Amino acid sequence: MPEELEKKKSFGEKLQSVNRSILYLILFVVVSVPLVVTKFLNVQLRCKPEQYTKDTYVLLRNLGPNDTIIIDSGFTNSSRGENGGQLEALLRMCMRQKVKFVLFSSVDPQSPQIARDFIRKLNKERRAKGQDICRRWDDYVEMGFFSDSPTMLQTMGEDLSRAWANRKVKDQQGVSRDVFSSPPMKNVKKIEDFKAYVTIAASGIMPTIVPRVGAKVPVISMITGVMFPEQYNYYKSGQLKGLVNGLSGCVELETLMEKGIDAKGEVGGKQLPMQAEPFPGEQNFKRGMAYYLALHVALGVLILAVVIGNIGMFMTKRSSR
Amino acid sequence: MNEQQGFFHFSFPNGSPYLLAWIIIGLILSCGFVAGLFFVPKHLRRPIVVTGTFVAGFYFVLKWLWPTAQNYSETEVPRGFVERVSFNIEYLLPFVSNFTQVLAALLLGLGISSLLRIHFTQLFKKHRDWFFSLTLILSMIAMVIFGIWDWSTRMGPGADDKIAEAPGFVNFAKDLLFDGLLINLDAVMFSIIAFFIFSAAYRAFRIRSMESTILLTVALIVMLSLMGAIVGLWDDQVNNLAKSTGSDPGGIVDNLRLTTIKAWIQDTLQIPSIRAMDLGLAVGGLAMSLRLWLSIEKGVSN
Repeated sequence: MPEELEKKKSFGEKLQSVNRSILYLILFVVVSVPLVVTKFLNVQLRCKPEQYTKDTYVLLRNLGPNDTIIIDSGFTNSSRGENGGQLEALLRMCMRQKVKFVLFSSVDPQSPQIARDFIRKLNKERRAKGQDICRRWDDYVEMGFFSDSPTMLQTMGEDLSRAWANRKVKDQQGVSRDVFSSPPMKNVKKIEDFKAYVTIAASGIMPTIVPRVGAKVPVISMITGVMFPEQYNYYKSGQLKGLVNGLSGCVELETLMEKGIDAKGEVGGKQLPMQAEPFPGEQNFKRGMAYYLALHVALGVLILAVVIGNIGMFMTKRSSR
Repeated sequence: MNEQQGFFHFSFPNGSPYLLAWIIIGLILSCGFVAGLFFVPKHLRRPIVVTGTFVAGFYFVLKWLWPTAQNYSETEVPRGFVERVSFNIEYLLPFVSNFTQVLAALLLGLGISSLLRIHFTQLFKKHRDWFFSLTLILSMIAMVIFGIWDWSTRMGPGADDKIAEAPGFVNFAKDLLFDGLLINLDAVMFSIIAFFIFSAAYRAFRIRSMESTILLTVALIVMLSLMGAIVGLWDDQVNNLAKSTGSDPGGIVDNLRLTTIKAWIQDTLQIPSIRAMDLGLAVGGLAMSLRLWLSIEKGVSN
């Protein structure tokens, strides 16, 4: 009986009912091949950075060695494909500019370890190149995981010195010392003293962050593509000073690191003075660009699948008339 | 604000015997309180929960509604009842914050203990799929041991540099468990969604009505706009068209750019819709919070 039905299927019907296993196989192949190709051929695709990514870059690129930012890393392994590249690009910028940072997570207990591993990975790269590494205590401090972020952020926004009073972090010698005596925190007494609050997360935590600290410190959100539309509201209302949208945003950030922004706001332009300098002589296209071709192909195949399904539907309708 | 102005004054130097004594007293009192709750008669349990919920919520209600003293110095003394309450509300915030951190961390512990209880029962009673329970328990124990051990080895003087040059067994084991296993298993779980989305999009995205046509067109534009190479090619064509037609920069032809179309969709269609939904959710959340705070929510009131 099923064989008879199969025989009776028109071409249009067949187009509409491709076996799920075949679809999965197609997706597997078309995503895997570009990953391998990019790995070996160093493919660099064109990218046109959005204004919100440019704003992010301008703000971060103009920080200096005496500035400290907050990195609220709240992503886990599940969104590592997007958030991992964003964190990596951010850490690269901090390390190259010697910007100090305070690292904590207000979202997930797993996140501090993931961020720590990224720092180690980048340090390994820098060691291999003979560059200075980013050292705990001297260049950054880890505050761990805040299990109840709304109340902690409220307290941080109102009185940072009391919010983190008696908090200890380990110095280079492994001795527990007051967090405010660490080099990254030496000029920080209140939340306004941080130059930026960068949150990297898979979920929408802006309703928690923006009302509590948004008016006192520039907030930048690095978010997954799925959550971007919700976060974009906050950018358009001026409550977010910068935004990085998923994997494409990560590639945009890498592109800006490669090309910079000139006085006119042109990416790669030469009109001086530059709004944000590039990082010449550094390898800027890394984790984001490594997946960019795969993203193109995956989206292309998705569009193709939808078009084929619809062509099948129209053909079936026409034949049934 | 001077700490003496608050209701409580718990400020002892780190490592002092007074601090240690207060920690021990606090621990004993907390354990006693929690143990005492187990022996509370059933008819008193609800009033305790309701009172606790109300008091906890009342602090934040006061925090938002009570007039806050502005621009006062640390040594200033409150004038009158309103300022005194305001000063104390402000003074208590770090205590409340620390308390909620501890409470939320305890919930994490509660979750772990509950998970272990269920899976140890599965294991010892040899229920169906007991092997998975054993896997979970062993994985959890291994991750805790190697995670803490690895962390402690990295805390010594110059430890990070030494480990970077020659990682020990513990560091290797932790990397194997966390980077080698957990990260990849998590990634696998998440990437499976892509297959379902692909299959669902192929089957469900059909142009059957005006609404679905609009939806599909918008989705197509947004997807294309995520592909930098396509955006570059498209916009180049629009630039060429503008040049060939002699259109001014910013003229009508510029509206055909993929980036312009996407920006219009985002700013004109997406933002108002999401704001409308957010407003609805916020009002709903407020109503829900009030019901929980006043313990009139069904789960609490019963």
